[in-house]
Amino acid sequence: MFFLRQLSHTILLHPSYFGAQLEDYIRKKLYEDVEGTCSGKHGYIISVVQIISTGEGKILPSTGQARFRCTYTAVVMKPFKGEVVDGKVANVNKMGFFAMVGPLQVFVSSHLVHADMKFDPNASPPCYRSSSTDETITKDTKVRIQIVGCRVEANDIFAIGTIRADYLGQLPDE
Amino acid sequence: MSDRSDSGSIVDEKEERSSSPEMQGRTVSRKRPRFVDPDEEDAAEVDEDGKPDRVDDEKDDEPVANGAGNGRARDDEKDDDDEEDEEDEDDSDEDDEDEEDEEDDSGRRKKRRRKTNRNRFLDIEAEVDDEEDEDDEADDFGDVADFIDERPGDEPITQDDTVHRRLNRTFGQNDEQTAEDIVRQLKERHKGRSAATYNPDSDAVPQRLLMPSVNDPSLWAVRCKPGREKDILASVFRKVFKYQDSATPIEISSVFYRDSLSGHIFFEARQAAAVDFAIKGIVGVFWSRGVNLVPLKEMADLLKIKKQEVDYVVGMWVRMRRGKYAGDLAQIIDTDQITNGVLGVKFMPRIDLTPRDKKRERMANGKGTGSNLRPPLRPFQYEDVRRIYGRSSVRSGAQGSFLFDNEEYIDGFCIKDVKFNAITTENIQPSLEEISRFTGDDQATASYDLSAIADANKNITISALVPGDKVEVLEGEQTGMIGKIEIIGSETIAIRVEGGDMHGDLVDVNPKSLKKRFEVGEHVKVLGGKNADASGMVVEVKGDVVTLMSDHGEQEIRAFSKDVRKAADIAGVTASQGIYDLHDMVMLDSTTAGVITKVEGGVLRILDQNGALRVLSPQQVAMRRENRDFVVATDSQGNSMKVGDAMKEVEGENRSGEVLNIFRSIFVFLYNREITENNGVFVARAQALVSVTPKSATGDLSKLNPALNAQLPYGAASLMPPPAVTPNKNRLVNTLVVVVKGTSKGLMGVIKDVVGENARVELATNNKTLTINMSSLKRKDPRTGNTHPLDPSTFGSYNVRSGPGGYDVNPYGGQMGPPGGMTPAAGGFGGRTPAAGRFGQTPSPYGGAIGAGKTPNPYGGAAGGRTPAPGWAGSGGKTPGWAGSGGKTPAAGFGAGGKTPAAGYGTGGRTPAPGYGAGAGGRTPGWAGAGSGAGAGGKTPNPYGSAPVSAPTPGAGYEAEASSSTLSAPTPYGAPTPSIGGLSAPTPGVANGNPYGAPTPYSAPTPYTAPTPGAGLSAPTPGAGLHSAPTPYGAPTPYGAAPTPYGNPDASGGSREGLAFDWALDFRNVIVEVGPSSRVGTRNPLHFQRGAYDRQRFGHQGTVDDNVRCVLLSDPTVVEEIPAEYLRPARPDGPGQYVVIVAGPPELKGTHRTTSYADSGQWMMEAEPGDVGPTIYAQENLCRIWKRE
Repeated sequence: MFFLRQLSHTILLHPSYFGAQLEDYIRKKLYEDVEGTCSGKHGYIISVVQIISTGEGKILPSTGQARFRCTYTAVVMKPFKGEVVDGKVANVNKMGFFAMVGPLQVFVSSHLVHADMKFDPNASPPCYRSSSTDETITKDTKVRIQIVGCRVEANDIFAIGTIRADYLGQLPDE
Repeated sequence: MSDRSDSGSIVDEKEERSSSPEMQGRTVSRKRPRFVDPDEEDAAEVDEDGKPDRVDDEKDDEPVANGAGNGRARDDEKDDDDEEDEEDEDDSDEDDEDEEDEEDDSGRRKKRRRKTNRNRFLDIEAEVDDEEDEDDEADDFGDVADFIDERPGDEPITQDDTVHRRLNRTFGQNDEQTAEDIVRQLKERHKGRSAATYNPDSDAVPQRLLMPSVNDPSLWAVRCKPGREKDILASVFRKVFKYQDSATPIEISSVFYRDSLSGHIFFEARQAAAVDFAIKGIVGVFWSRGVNLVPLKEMADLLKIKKQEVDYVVGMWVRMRRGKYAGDLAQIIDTDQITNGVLGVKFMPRIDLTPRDKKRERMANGKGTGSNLRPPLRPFQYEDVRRIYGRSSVRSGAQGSFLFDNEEYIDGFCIKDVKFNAITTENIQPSLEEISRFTGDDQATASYDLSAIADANKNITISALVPGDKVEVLEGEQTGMIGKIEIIGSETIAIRVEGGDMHGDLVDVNPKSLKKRFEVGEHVKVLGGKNADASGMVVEVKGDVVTLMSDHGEQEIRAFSKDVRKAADIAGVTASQGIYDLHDMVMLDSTTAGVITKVEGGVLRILDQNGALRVLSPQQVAMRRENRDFVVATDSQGNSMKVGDAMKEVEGENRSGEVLNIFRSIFVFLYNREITENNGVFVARAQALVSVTPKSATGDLSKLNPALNAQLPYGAASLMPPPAVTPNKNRLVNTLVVVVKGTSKGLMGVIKDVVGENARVELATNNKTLTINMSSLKRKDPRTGNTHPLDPSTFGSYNVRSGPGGYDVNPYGGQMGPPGGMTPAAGGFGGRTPAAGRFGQTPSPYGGAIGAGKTPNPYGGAAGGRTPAPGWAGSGGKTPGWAGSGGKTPAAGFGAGGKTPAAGYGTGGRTPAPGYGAGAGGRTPGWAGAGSGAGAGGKTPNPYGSAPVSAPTPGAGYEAEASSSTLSAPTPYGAPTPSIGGLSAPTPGVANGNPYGAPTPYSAPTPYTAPTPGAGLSAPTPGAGLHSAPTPYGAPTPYGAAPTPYGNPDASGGSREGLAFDWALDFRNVIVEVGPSSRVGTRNPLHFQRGAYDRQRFGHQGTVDDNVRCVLLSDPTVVEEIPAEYLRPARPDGPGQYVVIVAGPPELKGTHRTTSYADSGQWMMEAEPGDVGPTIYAQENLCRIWKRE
C-alpha cells in the first residue's frame, strides 16, 4: 500500500562543499540517498515528493563536517498481510515463483498456487501450467497476488503471497 | 503407593511406632509406598488395589465390597511375608476382618482380640453395615450373637427384657446422637492421624503429607557393581532374615534399588551401622566406597514412581534399546502377544553386506568380528543377501517374506518379536528423515505418514513452549480451541483463547494436549532437527509438518511444528547461524578466498576465487574476512566498485549480479538469484566487470570535494607530497660501473648485488668482487663509455636536462629489450589501442627528440627523463580516460614498459604530468582530435619553479587552443580553464556547474600502486583521458607517473628511427606544429614565445639558419622564424592528405605519399605504381605536406 509519509534523513557534508551550492548538494544527496531504498519500518521509499526543509547545518566537532537533518515527504510503499497486489513474475522454479510488485519481491510457493497448477520444468521458459484452464504462469506474466506474510528486515522486505484463491493468479494482458 | 511393598518394612516399623498404636495400621500403609520398587511390573495393579482399600477404611464403607479384590492382593502379601507373619498381627487382624472365609482355625484367639479392638475400629463399621444392609446385619448379628450369647447364656430369661430394652435404648441413643456428635466422635477417634487426612478429591495431598521427616528412618546409598543390584538385594534379604531371630537383628527397614540408578542400592535404616553390617561380606557391594546418607529432600524423589502406563498401540514408534540396533527407530506392528510381554516390531535391518571372507580376514587381523563397525541401515535386499551369504542362508517364507539368520524380513524391513524391555518408548522423537526412510521414500516430496508422525511428536514438552506461542488444543473438552500462551506453569499452561465462545478467556490446559499452530506466511525459525537455526516463511502447514521457505537458500524446509517457533518480525539482521553465514567471505588458505554459497547442516559450500566449489566443514575454514565495508576494486572502465554494487561481466557469459565481496581488488564475488549454479554465486575478475548502475552523481559528500583537487593541478601535489621513490636497488644489478673513488678508482666492473648503500662489484680486471659504496660508483655506458651517476634520483631536474643525451639518462639501455617493442614510439602501442593510437603517436616525437639527444623533452618541460609521456602512455591504459576512448589496457609490453624504468627515475616523483593531464588535455576532445594535441602537454607549465618556461598556464594555452579551429572539437566544459594567472585557477566546475562533474573517482586505486615505483601504472593518467571527461582528477597520476618509463627507450630508439629535434631543417613545405622544445638540454626556453603559438600549425616556408620560417596557417599574415626544436610534424588526420615521411628508416625518408586509411596509429597509403602490397607507415613518421607542388 502506498503512503505519503514525512520522513527525515541526516546528511553529513564535508567542509569542502560549503558554499553557494550547498543546498543543491544536500538536495541531490537526499534524493540519491533515500529514493529507492527500503526501511523495515516505513517500507520502500518510492519517491521524494517534497523536501520540507534541509535543516540547519551543525558543524560537528573534530571533523568539521556539517550535519543536516532534512525532513521530506515521500511516497512509500509498504506491503501488508492480506493485501492484494499486482506484480510481474520475475523467476519461476519448482518451489514457486517470484514476482516483483514494484520494488517488492513476493514469493509464491508452489503450495500456494492453485492445486491444478503444476510446475512444468520442461517448458521453455519453465512455467506453472494449469491442467484445467489455459492459465500459464511464466516469467513476465502479470499476476495478482494476495500477500500472506511479510518478512521485514532492517533494510529489506520480503513477502510470501498466494494465488490460491478466487480472482487471483494470472492477469489477462490488456 | 502400593501396599505390596510392605515386604521389608513392616517388621521394624511396627515396633518403632508402637508408642502410638492407633496410628500403626494407617501410618504403615501410608508410609509404605515409599519403599516400593517403582520398577516392579505389577505396580500399577497393586496401585489399583491399594486405593480402594484405603478408601473403605476411611469412609467407613462396607468392607465387603472390596473384599475379593483385596483378597488377592493380600494373598500376594502373605506369600511375600511368610517369615514375618508372626509379628504382623495388626495387619492380619484387618485382613481377617475383610476376609470372612479366612483363618477359622485360629478363630478364638483372634476373635477375642478383635473384640478389644472393636470399640476402636470395628463396631462403627458394624453399625454402618447395620444401617445400610439389612441382610448383612442379620448375619452379623448372628455372628455377634455367638459371642454375646456366652454371657447372657447364664440368665437367658431374666435378662431377656432388659436386653431388648437396652438394645432399644442403644438404638435410641444412636438416634439421639446428632450429626455433630458423630462427627466429633469421628474426629476424636481419628485425631491422632490428622496429619494423614485423606482428601479423596486430590491425589497430591497425601503424597505431600507423607514426606519423610527426620523422625523417619534415613535412606543410605551404597555403591555396588552395576547390573548386580538385584542379586545383591536378594543376598541382603537373606542375610537380614537370617539374623532376624538372632540376638542382633539387622535393623534395616527396607532395601531397594532403582533401574535408573545402576550401581546404587539403597537401605532404609536408622543407623549407618546397621547398613554396614548388612552389606558386610556381600559380594558385589563396594563397601569401601562408604555408606552415604541420602539427604532428606532427595528421599522422596528417589522413590517417586514414574507413571508407567505405556499403551502399546500398533503404529507407535519405539527405539531399540540394545544390541546391534540400539537407538534405531522401530515401529510396533502387532500387539497380539502383549500379555506375554512381547511386541511385534518392524525396523530397518543392519545386515552386514561385507563378504564374510573379509570379515574372517578382519578377525584374523585381530580386529574382532567387526562388531565395532555397525553395518549401515539398509533395507533387506534378497539378491544382495543371497549373493553374499549364499542361497541357502535365505529362505523365503509366507507372503513374500524372507527368513535370514533366524529373522524375518518383509518388504525390506526386519520383523521381530521383542520384549518390552528391549524397546524404549520414552522420548522417541523420530526425525523426519528417519520416518521418511521408514516409509520407504526419502525424497523431499515424500508423503509422510502424518498421523504416525503426529503420534510420535505429540508429547510436546513444556520447555518447547514460550508465552506468545499460538497453540491448538488437541484433546479433551477443549479440543479445537485455539489460543495464545499466556502463562506457563509447571504442569499446566494458561492460554488466552482466541475465537469461539470463550474468546478472551484464560484457560488452563495440559501442555501434552497442545499443538503449536502456525499460519501460512508467518516468519518462523526452526529450533531443532536437521535444519535447526534455519529461518523462513511458512508456505504450508500440514498436520504437524510445517513447510517453510528458507530465508537464505532457495529451498524448502520441512520441520515438525514442535520444532518451529515464530521468529521476531524483524529478524535481527538474520542472526548469524553459528560462525559462518551465507555469503560470508572466508579464507581457505593464505592466498585463497571463497564465499559461502550455502550452509547446510555443519557443512559449508564455498565457491573459491578460482570458481571451484568446495565443500568444507567450518573447521577447515581459516577465518572470515570482515571487510565488506571497505573493499574496493576497479572495474574495466576504471571505476571503483564496492560491495552491493550491481555489476555486469563484459566478457564470457555477461552475467550480472550484485557484488558480495571483493578479494584483493581482483576477484569479485557476485550474486544473482537467477543463476542456479552455486546458488547464484559466481566469481569474476574485477577487470572483466562493468557497472550497470549509473555512478552516483553526487558521490560522497562527507569526504573532501574532489573538485577541489581538480582545481589544483599542482596544488594537489602540494596537498599530498608524492611518495619518495626509492630506486629499486636490485635493478642496479648487472650494471656496468666504474669506480670513481678509493683504491679501486678507475676499475670497471659489474654490480652483482646491492646491500644497503654498498654494492658488490665484480671487477672486470681480475674477476674479484669488491664491496664498494655506491657513492664511489658511476654507471658506465657500454657503448659510449660515458659515465653517469649511478642513482638518477640524485640528479637535479636540470641536470637531466642538461645531460649529454638520452643515453645519459637511460640506465637500462641494455635491459629494456627492443625499445621499439616497448615504447609508445614504436607504434606497437598505437597498434593495439585504436583510439589510443593518436596519443600513442604523440609521445613519439618527443621520444624521438630525446633520442636525438639534443632536444629537451617537451613534455616534461622539465626533464626529458621524467616526462610524463610514458607515464601517460603507460598508465593511460588503466585510466578511465583511456577506457573512455575505447581502449583497454594497452598491450602488455606497454604496461611492462610502464613498470620498468620507473625506479631509475625516481626523482622525487615530481612530474609535469599533472599539469598536462589535469590542467589541460584531460578535458578536451579537442585533444583527441589533434594528433599533436599533446602539444598541450608541452604547454604544461613546468612544475619546477625554475623551469625555463613558466609562464603559460595550461589553461591559457589550452584555451587558446580550444578557440583555435584546428582543435575545434567542442569541449564539454566549454571553457574549462578559467584564468591564465593561477595555475590553480581552472575549475572545471565553473564550466559546467558541476565542480566534480566528472564522476570518475580520480583516486581509483589500482592494484599496482604499491609494487612498482613506476607508479605510472598506478594512477590514472589524465593525459590519457583526453577523450573522456571522466578523468579530470587525474591528479594522482602525476606523482606516480613521474618517472618516465619510456624516456630512455625512446631515447635509444629515437636515435635510430625516431625524429630528431632538428628534423624540420631537412624538410620544407610541410605543416609543422609548435610545441615545447624537443631538444634535450636546450638552452632555449621550453616554449617558443612562452607558448603563444603552442599547438598552432604553421606552414614550413624554408630554413633560416637553424630557424624555420613559418606561416601561421590560420592567419597567413603571421610569419615567424621558429627554432626547429619547437617544431613537430603535423600528423595526417584524415585520408587523402599528402604526407612526407620524416622519420623511420632512412631509405624511406622523404617519400611522398597520400594517406588513405588510418588504423591504430598507422596509415595505409594510397596505392601507387610500383607498390608491392599495401604500404603502411606509422603515423608518427609522417608529416603533412603544406602545399603540394
